[in-house]
Amino acid sequence: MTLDVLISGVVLGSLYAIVALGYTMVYGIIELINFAHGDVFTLGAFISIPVIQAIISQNGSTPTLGQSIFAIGAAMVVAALCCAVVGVVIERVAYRRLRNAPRLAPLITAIGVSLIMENAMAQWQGGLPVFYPTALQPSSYTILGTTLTNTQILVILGALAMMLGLDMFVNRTTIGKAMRAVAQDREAASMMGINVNFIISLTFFVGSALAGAGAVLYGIDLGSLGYDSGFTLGLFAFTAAVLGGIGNIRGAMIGGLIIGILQEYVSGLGNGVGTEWYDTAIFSVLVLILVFRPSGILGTNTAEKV
Amino acid sequence: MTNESLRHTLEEKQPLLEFRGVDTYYGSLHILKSVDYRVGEGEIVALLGANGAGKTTTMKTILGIVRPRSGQVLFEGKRIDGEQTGRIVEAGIAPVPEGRRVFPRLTVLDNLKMGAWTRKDGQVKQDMDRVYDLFPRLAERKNQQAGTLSGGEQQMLAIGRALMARPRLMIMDEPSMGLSPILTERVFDTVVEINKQGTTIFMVEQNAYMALQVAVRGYVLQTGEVVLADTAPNLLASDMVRKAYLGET
Repeated sequence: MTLDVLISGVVLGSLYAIVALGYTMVYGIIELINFAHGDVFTLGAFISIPVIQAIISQNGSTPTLGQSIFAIGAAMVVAALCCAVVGVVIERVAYRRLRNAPRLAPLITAIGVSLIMENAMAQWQGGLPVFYPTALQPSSYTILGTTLTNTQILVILGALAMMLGLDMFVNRTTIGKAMRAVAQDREAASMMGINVNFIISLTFFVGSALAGAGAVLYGIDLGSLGYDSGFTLGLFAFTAAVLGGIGNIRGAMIGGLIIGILQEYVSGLGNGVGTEWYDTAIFSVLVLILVFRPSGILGTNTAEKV
Repeated sequence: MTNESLRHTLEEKQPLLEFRGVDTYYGSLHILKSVDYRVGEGEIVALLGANGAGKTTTMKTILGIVRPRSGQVLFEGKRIDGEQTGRIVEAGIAPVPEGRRVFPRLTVLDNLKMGAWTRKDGQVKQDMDRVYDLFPRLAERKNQQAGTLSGGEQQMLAIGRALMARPRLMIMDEPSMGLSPILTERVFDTVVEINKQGTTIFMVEQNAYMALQVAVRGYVLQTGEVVLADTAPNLLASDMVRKAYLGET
């Protein structure tokens, strides 16, 4: 594997990791695979488009670095907040009533929410991919004999900052610890006086905000997206979450990176294997993990979660 | 003390915790049937009963996790049924739940912090030191994940966590469950110690003998109804308790 492949794998994997965090946080706290999460991601990307367009004119003139930073920052904040609110509303409207229902019921509901969002976004943005506006004047640097674009650096740094921030939030702050307490034993947490509904809403808020902010990085990196982009990406991110150990935050980060690198590696193989095979490779990982190590790389024993 | 004089002393002052004709249901299942309890300030009161009698439901009703369909739960004379658990904990009631229920992948220290969740005063640190004084073992292991502690240590942590709420009333659900006789004795010694320091205790326990050794009064619950309410010595001497809970024929 060349350094090039590794770098593009890390870039892609950082995006998967950000989305995987949302799946894993929600699963950790209410044991639901939130299929709508990928679509919240897509929504974040669409919402951020006009923000960038408002700050950087798209008539071919070169944005200054200051403009780029402001536009990207503003787009990430707006997308994160909008997605966070949407995530909280989805939980409140579609999942909360089903919290004590058999697990299949909220799962089917989640698929339903996903379909509703996708169709609404197809109505809004059309069925064809739309271009993501230019936010950054492309440039590249040669480091250690390999080329690194400024977009790649942006994605890696942006994702790293989000992951470190989340890790600090969950492990160092009292409210983050309360979140873990609710994930570990919801009833005992409620006996401490912790408002479980609030903590669950907060989990959706944070997970969806990450997806929204990550979607801006995705748009800038890939340059276009469609109404169903988040669904596909969500499946890969979900695989990453399972690989790392569903419910485990650091696991999701590691799983995301591994899936990203795997995808770029398989895509670059050539000789009859190539981009048409990475889906197969990734979902093979999902199947193998589910069969041989369902708790994932860092996952705690599932039996503990009673 | 005769029943008459017992009733007399109880009526003199307002109890800290009171159940007045409480009925609870799970779906159509009638669990507590017009139950009355009174727990006076500074007392240790035991609640005895077989599995399924409604002991844990009693605990959940106090905490607002189960809501009575009729009747009232009063704490310091104010109704708390219908309040949110957070408010009830804030008012001064902290649980030591059945099976300990410590947070296995949080450290000992963080478990204690969760116990202090509702506290807004600045004296959490003092109370943590007090818990460490009471259980030096917890101080040694404060950065260890709670799931790695032994059963006895987890019980200490569960008690310490409850104390972190600085409760006026600590409600304990089966504190001896799963513990060896020696550890059970140590837990009960601690309960007495905590009570001496001013915390009222309402305790559900299957180990009737141990519970009645430390309690001043007790209730016997049978299929959701209070069938006996008396002082601890009288209960220990009663035929019913001896037969049903102390294994005597």
